[in-house]
Amino acid sequence: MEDLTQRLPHDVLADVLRHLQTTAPCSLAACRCVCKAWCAVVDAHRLLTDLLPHSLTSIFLHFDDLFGRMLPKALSLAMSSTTIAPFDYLDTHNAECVKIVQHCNGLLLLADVEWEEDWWVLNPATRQWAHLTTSPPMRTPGMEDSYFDQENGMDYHDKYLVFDPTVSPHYEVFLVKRIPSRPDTLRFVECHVKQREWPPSTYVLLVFSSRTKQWDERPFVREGKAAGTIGDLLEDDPPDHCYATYWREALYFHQHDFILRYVVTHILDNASLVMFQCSDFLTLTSTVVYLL
Amino acid sequence: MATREAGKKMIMLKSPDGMEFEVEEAVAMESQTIRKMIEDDCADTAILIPNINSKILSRVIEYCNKHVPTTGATGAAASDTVAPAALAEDLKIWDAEFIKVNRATRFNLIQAASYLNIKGLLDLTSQTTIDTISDNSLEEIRSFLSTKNDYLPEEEQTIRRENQWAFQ
Repeated sequence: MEDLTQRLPHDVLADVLRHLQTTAPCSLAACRCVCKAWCAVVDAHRLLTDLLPHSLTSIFLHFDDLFGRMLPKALSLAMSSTTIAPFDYLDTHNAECVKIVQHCNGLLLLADVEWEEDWWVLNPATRQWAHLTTSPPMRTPGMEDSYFDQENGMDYHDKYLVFDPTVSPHYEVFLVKRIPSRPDTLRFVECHVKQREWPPSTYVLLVFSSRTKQWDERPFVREGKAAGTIGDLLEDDPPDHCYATYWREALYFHQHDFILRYVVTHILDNASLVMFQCSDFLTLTSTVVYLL
Repeated sequence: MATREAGKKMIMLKSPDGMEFEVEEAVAMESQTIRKMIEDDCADTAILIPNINSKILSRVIEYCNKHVPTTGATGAAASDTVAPAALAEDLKIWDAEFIKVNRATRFNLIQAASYLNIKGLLDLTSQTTIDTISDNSLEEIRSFLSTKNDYLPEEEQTIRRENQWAFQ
């Protein structure tokens, strides 16, 4: 018997499958597994992702009290709050030193403020956690041949968590190198390095995937113009920690006076990087992207 | 625009195989696609309905004729005397008869309903396909619809894992 569904244009097949959203959402997920064409239709028309709840149920707050103790809490919209610490069930030497660095769709990225090599990803609802393996050394992109970068341990980076259950059950942690901000840096960096563009046209990131359980280098290609030169940014005085947030298959993060958007879609092989000047239309706080 | 003695506006629908169907404007406007054309004044003469042959188009018109809201001179008597619930029941029985067609016709009707944007007809024609999918195992869905599994075993395992909750 002929497969007549193949005759249907994809948007028509989507119209048919959309009926399952109200009657049998589980079957809609099964449809992704029927064949590649059906999977493409379900994903392209966001039939399944539109279905999953996106409503906000709680936010995470992180207080430091005057004595340096961490008091992370989850605040629900019903105005009740739950203290989700202590994280004494993690393999930590001191649960009071564990800090929430970032959160993404219910998962937390945690770091030990004393032992900087200790990082975890935690689901506070189920208390499932994973201790991240130590990231391999990586040079700052564009400064690989700089004497200063090689010899002076200028490892300036931030780690960001990306987790989107509507796309994949796996999370990723991005390690993003940035331009060092030590006051004495400027005079030690070679002129030809200072003249290079930032962000570089190919920006290599280290990405930890829960699928492979290892760190891999992943290059992103810059779209559009650079923000400036490495020399310009060495003169700048950026904050200690740059915040980031994930929104609709892209990671937005702040560096100096610009925002970078990494498109981290799992569908495209060629991920891209788009840069915005902060003043143009974006500002970024720790958790929210505002489109102005 | 053509008019009939009852004073109702008539619309000429043409199928690609050259057949012409004269239908009341209200009937044609069951299709949101045609409604938009009429409202945008793109329907002065005949409207060519691409990709839908005369056999399918005549069935679509048959459906719209039955489902057009019964108001005005001819429909008043029916809707005044018959309770809405009974009317809906009558339509349901009529729909069930209407959709007793072979698979090829049903899939052609799905395409026509989608192109012409007739929600009721799309719901009706999709339902049989939906019924073969709902609450059935992956193997049953493939078998009912003769869909060929083009995943490699490891690919299928991965995608099943991604949607594990659907198989529990």
